[in-house]
Amino acid sequence: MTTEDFYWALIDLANGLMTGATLGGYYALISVGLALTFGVMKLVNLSHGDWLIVAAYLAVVILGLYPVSPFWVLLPLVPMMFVIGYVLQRGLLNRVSTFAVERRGLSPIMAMMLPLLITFGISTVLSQALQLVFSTNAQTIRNDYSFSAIALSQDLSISTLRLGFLVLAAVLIGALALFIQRTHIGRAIRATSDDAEIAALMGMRTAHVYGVASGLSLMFAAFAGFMIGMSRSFQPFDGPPYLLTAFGVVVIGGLGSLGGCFLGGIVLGITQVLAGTYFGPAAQQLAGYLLILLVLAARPQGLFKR
Amino acid sequence: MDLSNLSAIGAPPVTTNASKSAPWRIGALVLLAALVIVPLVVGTDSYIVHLLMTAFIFATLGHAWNLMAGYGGMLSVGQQVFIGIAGFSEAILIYYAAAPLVAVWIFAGLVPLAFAALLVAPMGIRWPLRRSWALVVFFCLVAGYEIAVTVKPELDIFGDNFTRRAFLLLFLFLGGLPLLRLRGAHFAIATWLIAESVATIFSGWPLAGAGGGMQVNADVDLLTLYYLALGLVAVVTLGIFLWMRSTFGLALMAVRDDEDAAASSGIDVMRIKMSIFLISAFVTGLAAGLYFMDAMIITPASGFSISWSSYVVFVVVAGGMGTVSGPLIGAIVFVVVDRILGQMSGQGQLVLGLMSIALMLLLPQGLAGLFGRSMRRRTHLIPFLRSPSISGEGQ
Amino acid sequence: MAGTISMKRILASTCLLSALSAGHALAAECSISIGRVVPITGPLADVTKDTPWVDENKIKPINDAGGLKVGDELCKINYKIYDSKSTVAGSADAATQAILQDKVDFLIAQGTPDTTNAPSDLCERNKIPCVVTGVPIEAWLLGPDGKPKEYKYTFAFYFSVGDLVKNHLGMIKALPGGFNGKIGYLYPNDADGTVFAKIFDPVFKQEGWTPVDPGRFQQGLPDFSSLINQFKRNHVEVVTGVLAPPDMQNYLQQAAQAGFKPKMYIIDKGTGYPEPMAALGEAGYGLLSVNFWSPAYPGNSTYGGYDGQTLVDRYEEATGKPYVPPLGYDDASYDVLLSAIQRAGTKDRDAVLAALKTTKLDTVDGPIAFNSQNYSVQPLAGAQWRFDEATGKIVKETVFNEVYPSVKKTGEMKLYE
Repeated sequence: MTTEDFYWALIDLANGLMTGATLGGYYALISVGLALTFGVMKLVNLSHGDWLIVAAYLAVVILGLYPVSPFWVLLPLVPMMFVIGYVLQRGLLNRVSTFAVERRGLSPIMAMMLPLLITFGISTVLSQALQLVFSTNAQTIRNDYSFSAIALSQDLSISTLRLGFLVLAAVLIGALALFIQRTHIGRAIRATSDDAEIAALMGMRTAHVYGVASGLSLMFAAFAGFMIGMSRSFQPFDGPPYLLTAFGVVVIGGLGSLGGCFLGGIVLGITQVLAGTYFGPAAQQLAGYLLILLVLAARPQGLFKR
Repeated sequence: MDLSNLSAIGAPPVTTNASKSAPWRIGALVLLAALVIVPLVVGTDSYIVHLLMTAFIFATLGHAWNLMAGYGGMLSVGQQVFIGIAGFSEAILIYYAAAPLVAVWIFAGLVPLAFAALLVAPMGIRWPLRRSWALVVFFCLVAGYEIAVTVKPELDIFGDNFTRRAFLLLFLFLGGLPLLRLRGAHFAIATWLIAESVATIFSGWPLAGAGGGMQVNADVDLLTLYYLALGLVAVVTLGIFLWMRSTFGLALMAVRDDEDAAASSGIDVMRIKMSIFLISAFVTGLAAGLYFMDAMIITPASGFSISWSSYVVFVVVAGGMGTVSGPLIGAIVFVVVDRILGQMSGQGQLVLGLMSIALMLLLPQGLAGLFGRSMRRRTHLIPFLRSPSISGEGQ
Repeated sequence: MAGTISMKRILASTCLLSALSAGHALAAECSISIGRVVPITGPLADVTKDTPWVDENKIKPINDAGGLKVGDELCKINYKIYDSKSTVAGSADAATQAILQDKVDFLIAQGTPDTTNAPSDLCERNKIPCVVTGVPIEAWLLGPDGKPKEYKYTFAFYFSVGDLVKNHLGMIKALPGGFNGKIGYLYPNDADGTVFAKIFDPVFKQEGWTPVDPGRFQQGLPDFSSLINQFKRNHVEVVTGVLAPPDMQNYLQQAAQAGFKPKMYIIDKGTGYPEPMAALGEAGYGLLSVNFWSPAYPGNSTYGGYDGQTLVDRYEEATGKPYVPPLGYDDASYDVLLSAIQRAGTKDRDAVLAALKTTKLDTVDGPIAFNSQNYSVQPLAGAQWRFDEATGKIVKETVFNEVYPSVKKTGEMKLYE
């Protein structure tokens, strides 16, 4: 092994770990919303990926109307998505919640199926509607950061945006955890997720709590969609692959666990990049799938859930 | 309770009310006879024949999924893996071996069946020790094959190194995955991931046309496909109807409603899950085989598309989950919405999406729930248990 | 959006039209029905954005003049658009519906192998004359083992991958300042990627160049940094590949972040349309690709008499959008079919089939003549994306025309910056 080979072997390893970790922040942000709805409402939201894309398109539209620095777009975007999430839950999804389904005398299996089907329908409608409005053109949020990187050495650099999003993911997930622990509505969310029936008996307005949880979920989708738009181009039909990634992260971290999302994202990111480095790029996604299946097989409760 | 000798198709139904089911039998026979003569009335190359054939195929796919989800409680969103494998084995057999139609069609069922057997294999072997032995043996076989290929490259039937290794390692991995032990959302995600992983390999496999896919140039006409599809859906419908009335069917539903309770009352849960998983794969493969003979082309993107699962779920839920007539009704609704309304509005997918939202809100029990009293008698086979939580996901 | 609404309206009216005509199939009146399978919804819809403008532009003047003169009769032409939903399954449904339900006389299918190949096979089974375009000849012709399929009823015209190889090879050889022979691959494992890798790899090796091939990857690859490191380590100067727009952007960003700057990028697919290029911004300036149709192409339309530039001007004026390259092919596919019907003097399928075989036609894509394998190879040229400071827009300039000198050059090739 020559010195140059050794040098590159080190660079590969360092790059794999670093890029993988920052990719993990990106994955974490994509999946928090899904983990939240699952944790609180046992709702498997199949339209989650499409909401990310909706948020990205909304960001582009807002920036088209008011050409300011891209980060300002979060100011209207995040509350907007919260409202959409709240209204969606109260108006539509609450009608097929575990509660509602049981009230209507349907079997528990149906309680599982109805939200799946309805969110699948929403997913189709969203992507088709986006295509009708925006056509299939690839869009992106133009910014000065997407091409910049922090160079650590001549051959080792770290993407500014992705590093930023890793930090953002950590901060947001921390904030969400605090919110759930410290605030009144946060405690209500926790109580409802532990046992919705008892929470309802204790006078909590389950419909409202679910609405807030859904709103928070889409709020995170707004951050994630903004992030996708900043760092990639997107098209109306890009949602489902993000959904699959989000599922993977949630499984690795443990269904419904927020901190698990963060760590799960990082584990998935590092696995993918390292597999890509050593077994060729075709192995990148395959290694990700196998990791998730492995976790499902060996630790269905997730790697980071006690 | 020993189920093995009772579970055969055609076992005497345990709950038959002869006087009430007679009109149904006559009705079904009349319907079948009518469907047999439809092509003679409307013409053999009529679009109606094609639509009906499509409906039969989707009804069969629906039955297969309904068997797992509606009766077995195993929510799969990975049926496309059987569909894609069926289509590709058909394409490969026709293209490289010019095999006769019947052989091709049977293989379209057998190959997914073999794949399903691989997925449930660890469950069949009770002792963990023997299971790891099987894995070791398989691993040694793979390693031996790998060495053989380096010596004699023509032994490599996969055509290139990456595909071969990826396939064999994936099989090894899937062989060790205790799929049927997963429940609820875990099972659903696992099935989706399995389908995605297989699709990933197929899209890089040059022998199967890589991403460009293959022609399925079967020498068959629409009329033959129509009767094959009609026969298939009739046999499957009858089979499920009888099967669900046997002791096996009752045991199956006990498993669906509460796995742990079923196990403690002496039901061999794994054997039951295994049998419906295998049958579902076989039936799905046969139906997909007919579909691809008609469509004439398969690509990894089309064969392993997640939209297969969404269509099948739509078919079953629109019709009525856990009912024999559900998939039949749902398939007709699907064909009308997707093929006719869709083409008229120019936005077929949008209509389908809106329809499934509306149906879930208004008719969660499906259209079968709308029918008369005798239909309800059938649906009551599924006791609507009100258990406090969804069976065990999130465990 | 106005465009979409008017499109839907026209779609609806044509549906109605053909439904009516199917209902009153009066024997005395001659009419020809043409089914056109194109992706209207789904991810490929960009490819046929010119639908249904191009149909109206071609057919309306003919019908207004009383119809197409076939033998001694004037025949009205009814076209109907079938949505392939951008999937293989959808294109098979669409073709089946056209053939079995509407009993169309002829079929045209356009836009990527996913839209053209199923209708081709179904036309063969149902013995319907069919014209396809928008699919590279090899992707339509060759089976998985490289053997050509036998088409009797289907005819294709488009560029061929063989010409693409010549074009790219010529561009690399013309690299200003010389080339060190290190060439990096960016081929995904989809249909295009695998075919291109299979065809390009031996050619590059034959030139004595050293390929740096990280291997096929799946579309939507999350991370390109390990590939880029491989390129850097091997001092790659030319990078070539087939990337979809999101992958292209992801790759170019990560390359810029890693400070990797080759002298030349030749990237196909993602570089085909103006919108994804505009989304790329500065990173897209200087990318090389292929020009498979532009107004600079030689030839005039037989039905309508216009040249490529006039067609583009009319399109841009009517729709207010920049033209898309398939426009030329969509226009020419009608020419091919109409000319064959006229030369046959009847709409009898066998006669039209015989006429299609002897096609020798001038179109906006250059001359079309089918060979014994039922295809015709159309010209292509090397193109480069530039930022036009005068208009503030990006433009695709033809910078290399050695393969087909009849396509005019509009600029000189420059290094990637």
